[in-house]
This record gives sequence, C-alpha cells and structure tokens, in this order.
Amino acid sequence: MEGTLKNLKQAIIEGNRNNAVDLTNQLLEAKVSPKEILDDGLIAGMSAVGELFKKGEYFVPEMLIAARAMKSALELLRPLLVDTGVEPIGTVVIGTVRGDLHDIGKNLTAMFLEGAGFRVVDMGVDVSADKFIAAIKENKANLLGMSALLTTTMTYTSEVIKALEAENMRKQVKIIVGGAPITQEWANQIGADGFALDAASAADKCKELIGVAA
Amino acid sequence: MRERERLRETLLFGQPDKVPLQPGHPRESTLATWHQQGLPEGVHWYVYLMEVLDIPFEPPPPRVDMGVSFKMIPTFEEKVLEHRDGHYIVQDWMGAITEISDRYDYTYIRAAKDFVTRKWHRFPVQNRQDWEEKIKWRYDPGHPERFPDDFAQRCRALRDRDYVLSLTVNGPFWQLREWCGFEGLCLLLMDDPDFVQEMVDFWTDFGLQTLEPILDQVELDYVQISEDMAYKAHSMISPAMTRRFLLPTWKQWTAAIKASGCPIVSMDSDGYTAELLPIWIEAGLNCCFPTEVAAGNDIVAYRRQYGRQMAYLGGLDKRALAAGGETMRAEVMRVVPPLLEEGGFIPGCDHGVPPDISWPNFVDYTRLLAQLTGWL
Repeated sequence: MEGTLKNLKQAIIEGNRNNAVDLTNQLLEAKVSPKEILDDGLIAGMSAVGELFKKGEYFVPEMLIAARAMKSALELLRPLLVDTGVEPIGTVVIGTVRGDLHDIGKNLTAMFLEGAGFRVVDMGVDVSADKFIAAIKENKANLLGMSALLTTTMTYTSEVIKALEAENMRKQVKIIVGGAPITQEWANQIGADGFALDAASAADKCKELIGVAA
Repeated sequence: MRERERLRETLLFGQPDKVPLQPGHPRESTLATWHQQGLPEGVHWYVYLMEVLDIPFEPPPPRVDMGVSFKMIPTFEEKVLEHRDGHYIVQDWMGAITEISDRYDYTYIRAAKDFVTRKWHRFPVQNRQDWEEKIKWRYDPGHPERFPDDFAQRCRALRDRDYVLSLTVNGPFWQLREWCGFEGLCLLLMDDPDFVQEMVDFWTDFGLQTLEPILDQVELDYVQISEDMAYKAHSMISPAMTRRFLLPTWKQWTAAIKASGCPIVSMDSDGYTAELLPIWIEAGLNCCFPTEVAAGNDIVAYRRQYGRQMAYLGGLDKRALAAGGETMRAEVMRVVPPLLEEGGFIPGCDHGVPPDISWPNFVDYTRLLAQLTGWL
C-alpha cells in the first residue's frame, strides 16, 4: 500500500482528480486508515505542490487542479475522519476584510490551508470585526487569517486586532495577514503574529504559529 | 517640444527637453478626499496642481477620438439581481455575475472610475457551447457600430496633430479572463488547452482585424496591451504557458503596430512582472506599466538587467507617497535619478493614486518630481 500512497501523493501533485479519487477508494478498501491516507497522500501531495509553487515551478493553474484533486479525495475521507476521531491540526477563520471584496488570494490560501490539514472557516469577503470574532468563538478557532487588496482597506486589519483585544480574545488566536499592500512591517505595526507573501507560505506560517511541524 | 514629440523622445531613449510630468491618476474617492484637503471643487486637479507648483501649463487642445470599440457588441444588459447585506449582485455589461459594495453601482464596472473591489460569482463562458452561443458572435470586426460613420474624417483630422494619440486593447489573457473568469481560465488552461487556444486565436484575429483600419489610416504614438497577468510576488501563469498561449498574439499585434509607424507598444500588468519582462521584450514590446513595488518589483534592477530594451511608466511606491516626507523623498530618489540617467522612463505612482495619498503629500511629491524632470 506504500506504493499506492505514493501514487496518491503523485496524483495530487499532478492534479489528476480521477486518479486521486480511485486511489483513495483503493486505499480505503485495503483498510488503510483515513488518517494515513490524509497525511501521507493528500497532505503530502499538497505540501509538495506548495514547494513547487515556492520554487516558481507551479503557478495558479497547476495549484488549482491539485487543490481540486485534493478536495475530491478529501470528500471521501471527511466522514471517515470524523468517525475515527481525527482532528484537524488547527482551525482557521479566514476572510477578506471589511470594505474589500477581492477574494482570489484568500481562496488560494484557504485551499493550501485545507491541504495542510487545517479546518478552514471561510468567512468570505467584506468581513467586519464582529463577524470575525463571532466565527472565532463559534468555531473555537486558534488562527485568524485576514486578506486585503488595497492600501485603504488594509488598515481594517488593525481594527480587527483592536476589537479582539477589546473582547479579551487576542491571546486566543494567532493572527496572520496577507494581500497586495501588506508587508512584514505592517504585520509588526498592527501586532499580528505573522505575514505571508503568498498562499503556500501562509499554510507554513500557520503551522509554525501553532507549533506544528512543517 | 510639443507633447507628442516629448513622449516619443522620452520613451524611445531620445533627447526630450523635459520628461512628461505624470505623477499619477487619482480616482473618484481620491478626488473626494482631496476636495476636503485643499483641492477646490470645479477645477481639474492637474490644472490646479500646476498652478500650485507655479508650472506654466498650456491647456491641451481638443482631441479627436477615433471612436473605435474593441468591446462586445451588443453588451449584456446591466441589471441588479439582488441587494443584500450592503452589496449589489449584478449582471455586468460583460455578462458576468458580480458582487460589489452598494456604495457603487454597475457603472463602476464599465471603467476604473474608483477602487472598486469585486467578488465574481459566475462568468458567461463555462464551456464551448457558452462560447459559441453567448460570446463569440458579439465580436464581429465588421459590425456597423464598431467604427464611427465619420471614421475616415476623424483619421484625416488626426494626421497633423501634435498631441499623443494612444490606444488600449485587451490582451488575450485579460480578454479570456473576462469571458471565463480567472479560476475558470486557469482550469481550462489545464483541462482543455485546445479550447483556450481556439479563443486566443479568435481574439488575436479579431484584434488584428479591428486594428488594421486604424493602423492603415493614422500613425499612433502608443498602444497599450492590457493583461494584468501577475499578482503579489508571482505571475499568474507560468512563463511556459505565457509563451505558448500569449506570446504569439503579442508578437503578431506588435509587428503590425510597429509596421504602421507606431513606435511604442506597452504592456499594462499589475503585480510581479520579473518573470514576464523577458517574454514581453521577446514579443517586441518596449514599455510597461505600472511596475508595482508592493508586488516585489525592483524597477532599478530591471533597468540594470534590460537596459534600453524596456521603458517604464510608474514605478513609485504608492505606500511611500502616502507616507510623505522623508519616506516619499527617499523612494523618489531611489528610483527617479537612476532611471532618468538613461531615459526611457516617465515616473509616477505605481497604479491609480489612492485616497490615502493626501493632497498636500501629492503636491510635495509632484514638486520633487517636477524638479527632477525639468519642469522646476
């Protein structure tokens, strides 16, 4: 089955959705644990995709079909993971901030986070501080990811952090920010825990922030 | 020198008397903010800026518009489908279902009037049937509304002009993204590259057929191909995909444009363009805009690497201009003197001027720019 797991990882890397689904079914029929399939097949595959992206070999089309293959396989595993008590490595609330409706970068980041084993609560766009806070509470999230496209909307990331402080919730979540105008300096200035240059780096950063091995 | 000669001399690494003073273009929300900060109502911001800086300014002559449309004819009916939670969900003129803040309306989708972020829900082309039935037939180069009735007359009037005549055309990546959506196009590039090639070939031919009557009758100064094919730190598609699907179009169009006497073919792409510059140069493009700093671009390094193969417009970090003072000065001095050494550069804000650049800061920045470019 080791060979089949490797093939599943490769199917994810190649974005071959049909193969990913077939191989996942084969592994399940062979009684391989859903967690092992997730870790050594899907997450390993998306991790490799992330590395290829960071090296400049994969771009958005390659990432999208890999994420699509991963999602299709994950749909088979999801109910079984719940049944067997497998927990995600963390829960991330993610959204584009208030006043901003741009979501492409946020969507790519959500794909990588899911591919890394996180439970992702995608709040969508134009998200207010209140909605972020409510989602963190409801989902017991330990991570918050905020995206902004414009210099005029990125300032809202600071408002959200202040709102969390006012609710005495700041220590409950690690906060990562990203988007076109956002820099490490901005993250430092507003008291965020991390900044990510791109979607693949965001997944790595989130793991680092909650102390999960890369 | 008149405007036309000055632009050509500047971007072609010649000997301009001064470099065109183009600090950047504010949008609606920026002007609204500036009106609270010292820009009077009822006067054009550029005219007032020149007055404040005491730079002699000759109002431009009335310009003749060629009146040619590269857009779909007819457009889709613009309509509001839903109004909820402070957003409109609309069908826009391109046939896409789009969500915008209800601070705006769908007319803001027609052109970049302001900094309107959008969430796209659905695009008109999901498959070949959609392409054939919904989109392709709208691009007839011979449609009677594509050229104005007095086109020949307008071209005659343009032949003796001393102002810049430019044209903007959507490149194949931009255009296919309008039809299919960004994610849709990216998936098609992997799932059905032949279909993508078919649409690219169609757009290439349509572009050439619509350009030809223009190029035959008038000598343009500047053609801009709009692609917006990059984002923060990355190109959207690989250099290999760019070469396969886009380079042939750029080459064909650029050859036709330059053969007509137009010397400048420019690429408009936001985002990180380092991987794309050599491909643009290979296509024969010789200018690009805006070279956004926040995306990771280093225009000074690009000049060192590509020399006179590429001219630039823009290149100044909007965030530094917003900070003003010494931060602004350091940014302008980082970029402008080194690039002006060789020429081929019209410095300006690296995209539309956002409202967080205050009017006083914009005046200070333009003053410095004017000092460096020969106006003060």
